[in-house]
Amino acid sequence: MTQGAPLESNMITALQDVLTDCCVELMAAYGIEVQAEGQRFSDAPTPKVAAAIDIHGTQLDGTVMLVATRGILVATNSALDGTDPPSDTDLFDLSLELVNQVAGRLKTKLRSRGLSFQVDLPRIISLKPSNTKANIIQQRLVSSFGSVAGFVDIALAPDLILDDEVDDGLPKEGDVILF
Amino acid sequence: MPKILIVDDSPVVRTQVSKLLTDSGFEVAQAADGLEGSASIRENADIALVLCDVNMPRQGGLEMLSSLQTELAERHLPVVMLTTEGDPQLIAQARKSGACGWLVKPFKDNILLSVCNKLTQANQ
Repeated sequence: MTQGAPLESNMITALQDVLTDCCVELMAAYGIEVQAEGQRFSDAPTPKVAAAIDIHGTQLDGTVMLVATRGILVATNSALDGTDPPSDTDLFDLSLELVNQVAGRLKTKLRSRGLSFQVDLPRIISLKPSNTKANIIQQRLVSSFGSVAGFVDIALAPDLILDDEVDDGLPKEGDVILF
Repeated sequence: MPKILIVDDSPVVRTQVSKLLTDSGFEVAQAADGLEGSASIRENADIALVLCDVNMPRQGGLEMLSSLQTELAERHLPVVMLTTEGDPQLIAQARKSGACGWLVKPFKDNILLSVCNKLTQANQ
């Protein structure tokens, strides 16, 4: 896919909303309330874990990243009845699974709006954001446990339009289908 | 109690699911990818159900299913895909390859247990 054009502002807003929903819902699934930065909770600067997963399709290509402070990962681990206390390795593994789940949510939500892509395997990265601001969408959320930020750094096809969301009847998170 | 094989490259998921299932009385085996999963299925005739991720290194879940299709059918061994994916093409591919279910992560404990109880009892 060739390099996409800078996003239209309404497209940025639409994708921002989708990304925010994915991150908020992901954390809520583990009983953790998060809010967009600047509201109610504040976040002290602490070391963060960054995990990434590449996504690629005919209309969309790039990387989804999740950057979380240790506190929020510990809280999520606790919600999973994970090892107590969790080791750094446990938290790295958890962040890989969380970014996988964010990408899965993103895929589900964007598919209902006519956009599809494949998801690769997740990896831990050292945070090095792209220098071009044109196609970066990010949402940082804070809670009493710490912060989590979702980043989407993608090139989009210039003629991309997001459809209105439809209920496509396909399985969502927590759903089961028995054939 | 029935033995359930968990095939997932995420140690977090394997630990979470194992704990849930063992706390509910199931015996559990684990594998980190499709190749390990295939080997475990072939070596353990007492596995009653397989929970399998889709996206894994070395060999993914759908590839594992395809490689074991005949054997799974002969043993009537149910396989449920446990994955973040909800892609209809992947679901159809899984069904065609012999999977009997698809569960989207993060799962609810009671739903996963209900599925495991139902499928292991049906297979007895």
